Amino acid sequence: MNSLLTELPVLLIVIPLAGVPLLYFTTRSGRGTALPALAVILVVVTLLSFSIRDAMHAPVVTAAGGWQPDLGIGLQFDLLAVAAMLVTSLIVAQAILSHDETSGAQHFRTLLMLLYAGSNGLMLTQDLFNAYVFIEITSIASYALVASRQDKGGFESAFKYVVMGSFAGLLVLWGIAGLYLTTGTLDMQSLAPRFDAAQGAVPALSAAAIIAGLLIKLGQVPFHAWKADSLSGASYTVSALLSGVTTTAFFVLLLRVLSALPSLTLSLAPVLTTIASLSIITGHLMALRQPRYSRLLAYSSVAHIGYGLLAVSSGAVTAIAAGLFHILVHAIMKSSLFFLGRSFLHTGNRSDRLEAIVFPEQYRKLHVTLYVLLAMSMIGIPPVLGFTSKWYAVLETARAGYHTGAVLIALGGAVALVYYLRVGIQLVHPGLPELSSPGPASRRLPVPLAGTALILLLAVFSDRLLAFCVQAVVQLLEAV
Amino acid sequence: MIVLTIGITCIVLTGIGIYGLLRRTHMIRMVLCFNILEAAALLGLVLIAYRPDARSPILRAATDVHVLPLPHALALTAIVIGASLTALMLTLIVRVHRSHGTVLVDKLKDWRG
Amino acid sequence: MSGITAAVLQTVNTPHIESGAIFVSQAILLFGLLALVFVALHTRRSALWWVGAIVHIGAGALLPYTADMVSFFMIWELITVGAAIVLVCEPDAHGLLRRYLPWQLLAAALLLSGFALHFAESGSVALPAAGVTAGRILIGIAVAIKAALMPLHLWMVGTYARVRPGTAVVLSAVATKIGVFGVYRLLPGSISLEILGGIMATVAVLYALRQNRLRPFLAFHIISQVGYMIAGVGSAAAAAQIAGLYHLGNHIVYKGLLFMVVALMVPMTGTPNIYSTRGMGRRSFVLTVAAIAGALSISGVPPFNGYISKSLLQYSLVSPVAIHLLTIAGIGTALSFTKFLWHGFLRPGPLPQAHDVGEGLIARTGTRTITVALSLLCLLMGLYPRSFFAELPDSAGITQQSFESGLVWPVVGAALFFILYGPILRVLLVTLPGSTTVMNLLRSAGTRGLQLMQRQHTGDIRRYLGWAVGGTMLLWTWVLLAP
Repeated sequence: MNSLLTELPVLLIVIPLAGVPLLYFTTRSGRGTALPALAVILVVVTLLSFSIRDAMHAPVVTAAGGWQPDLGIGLQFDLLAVAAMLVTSLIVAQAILSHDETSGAQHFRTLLMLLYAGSNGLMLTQDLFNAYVFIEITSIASYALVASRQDKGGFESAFKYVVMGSFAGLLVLWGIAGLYLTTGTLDMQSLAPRFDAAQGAVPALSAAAIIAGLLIKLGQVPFHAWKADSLSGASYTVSALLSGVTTTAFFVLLLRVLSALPSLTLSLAPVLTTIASLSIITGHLMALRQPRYSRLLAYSSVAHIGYGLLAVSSGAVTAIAAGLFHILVHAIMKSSLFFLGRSFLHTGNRSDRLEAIVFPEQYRKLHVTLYVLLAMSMIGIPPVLGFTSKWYAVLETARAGYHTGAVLIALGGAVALVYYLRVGIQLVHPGLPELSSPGPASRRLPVPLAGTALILLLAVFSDRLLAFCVQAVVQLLEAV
Repeated sequence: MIVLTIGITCIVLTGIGIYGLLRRTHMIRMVLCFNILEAAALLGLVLIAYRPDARSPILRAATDVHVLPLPHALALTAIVIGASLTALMLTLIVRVHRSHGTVLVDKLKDWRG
Repeated sequence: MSGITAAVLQTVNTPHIESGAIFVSQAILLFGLLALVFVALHTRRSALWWVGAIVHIGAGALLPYTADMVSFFMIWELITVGAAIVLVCEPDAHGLLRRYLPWQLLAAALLLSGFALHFAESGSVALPAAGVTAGRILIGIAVAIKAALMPLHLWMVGTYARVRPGTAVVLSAVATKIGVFGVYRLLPGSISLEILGGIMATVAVLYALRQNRLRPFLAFHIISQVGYMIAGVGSAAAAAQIAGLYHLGNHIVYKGLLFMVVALMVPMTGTPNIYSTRGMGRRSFVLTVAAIAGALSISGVPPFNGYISKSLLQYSLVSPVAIHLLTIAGIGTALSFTKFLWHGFLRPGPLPQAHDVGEGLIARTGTRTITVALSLLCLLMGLYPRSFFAELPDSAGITQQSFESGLVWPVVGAALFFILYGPILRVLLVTLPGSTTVMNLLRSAGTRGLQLMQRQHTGDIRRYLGWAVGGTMLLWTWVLLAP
């Protein structure tokens, strides 16, 4: 068991990665079953849940291939990775269930598994260049997924996404090269002292380039503008993955980078706070007048990631934990809202313009209930989990000294209400007559039932969840 | 001297790449700009590894001076990633050309606002 | 740590028990139940409506007992959720929700911000007994929205005037009272709050005088009475706080009574216009008695309950400015309600066409019994104030002398109606700015700003790349310049 534990971080990446060719060959005929993909996730989650206790005790660090970090690549399995991977696994599982066989997307599950493997790697790795590789694996999978609807809008979105994503990747690559040049190491745990000892402006500039690249990936102002455009042409399932899985993974990586460079984080804090505040303002205001469901949700993501970044950049342990907690909760609720969008298609309607979206006749009340609960969570109305995470984010940000930021987060909810209410009114009383040809899967229960149930049930345990996040952050900061 | 030359080339290439990305509308040219930027980054990596009068990092005699092996490994990986990105972008450009009938990036304005 | 569950458990174990909280809670609960009975007798409502109404009133009655910020905020939001459920069941639910919810959520957001600032300073989620130390302005605006202080009152006028009459009775029982309780519980007493309350009471009465429709007229009088309460509970003087609280209790009763009278009146006369209603006095004796009782109470005429709290306020407030303002507001109220009684009930002249009394009036006897009961309650709360609220001073009560002096200003107000109402109305119509013009201006400016912002996102990926490059440059500049 002990040897399995030390190899665990590797397994968490390798098992999904091995699933990629497996799925590729089993789905070559175009149609396949969801079972192999679900089985992979089940194995990963089982491994995760068996090892939480060990991770609580101390992070499990593995040197891949027996080469010690600094020369080889270190993988770190800590509570931060556990929390984030549990959330992303849930979302990936929902995506597999939500995927529509007839949508024309070939090898959807294969790409999905590649994305899953890449994001797991992103959250586990301790080596900067390894992180770059996983960034690109995750990104390439998601570029292809965005284009998977194979229509005009999908290609436009994918191209814009590729351009911005590649630029972000280049920034990270430059940053890594510069850091290696000046510090001679790529291992995040041994970076800090050498970074502080290094002379000249290059190390700081390089680290700033890495952070800028990650901010592009996360979609923060002024790096945000691609986000809505890229989600507009993607299918709802893919949008859910992008706003749930990749965002979480990049946020975890950003946390690791920031905690690996405490001196830089301290000096960048004012800029990061400004960026986060601008993101909150821009995201909510831009969402107000969006004519499409997915664009509206995309801009709301910009704002919510801003909440997390604001809390994190304040630097206090509890604030970072609150930010992490909010990002994880946001991943669940935002992806659930996107999965809910899948049900619009069951009415035979292909447009996601707000005046055209409507829930199918079947389970309409259930759908509306889910929407209301999720919207309440996004706005931050008790008693759902979104409220508690926002509450912590506001209070802990204020305690860390960022009063304006706390007020911004609180006021964001009031603005969010306006646009979620607009969508809700449309969904309850559709303006257009329902289209006659129902889609293929109209008898299925809505997928986000799972996510919404979690949002509702876990609210009771939010104290413990926050405590878990605090422990994860303490572990993260102590490791450096 | 050689360090200076390659360093300046690296910076010049980066400048050209960024300028091209921001100024050119043809999608293929944007891909080329990405390739130039990547080439600049690779040059940079090689430059990091450089040591005067050093040999390639293959162990022959203990007294040899080697260039740093790690940046070369990084450069190799980056080349692979760059190639796959280029392939993906070119595929997308073909598809965009089929669906939109254009290869000019400023015509891609269905999504905005 | 700012644990949520822990804080809520703390409140459940040791709730905030204090005479003011108990009084407010019981007043809301008692009147809420009466309102529910009234609606049950008055019209049929869907099951969802009842759920919402019960949540609304139940949460309102629970709020005063909360001892920590988490519970306070959650129940504060629960009140809004209950109201939203009620509004969903109304005809024109969308318009109502659009008017109601954004304001309420804004109030909640401001409250949360204020709590955050207080938490940042005190490091504890417990609600202090003497009001918060930091974040006063934010919390002040939040409770001002909830209490519908002008110019933050638009949600209330917009909602109460558009819902079905019974719903207005239920809604009027909770929201504004919670705002007043918020001032009492969260803000430390000060002279500025007294003066603010006085100004609100006066300005709102002036707006009420301009109204020609029944429910906006009542809605503005709510605002005016809330001004009295804020002057009281916002004061630093303990006696004024108690007077303010008692006024809140009185207000719940007579305001509900008046809303019920209006709810019963409109279907009978068939018009919501004050100047066209007439002849109620000859058509229904019970309603006339109820209307007179309500009008006398709100105008502060002894021996009705409004007189007790208003006279106590006059004695106990610290600021002379506030006292004078409240006197003016009192005259205005008397004038306004003389108008209401005169046109609706007392004016001689030919009766208009009898209207269909049907319209959902299921049990007229039942609803009328409640109005009579409330009228009696108004009288009893005036005659025996200390048996309703034990904290009131011994001097509270009716004596020969106070009876005479209490009559002076209401009589002046009533006289003004008959002598000078035309000129006053004309002056008010010209001088007071319409509340919607300002809103429309703000709205169009906001829309234009958003459009400008949206137009920057042209969809050109090179422009977005440029922003990203610029952002990176900014980060680099900061890194270079930072020490």
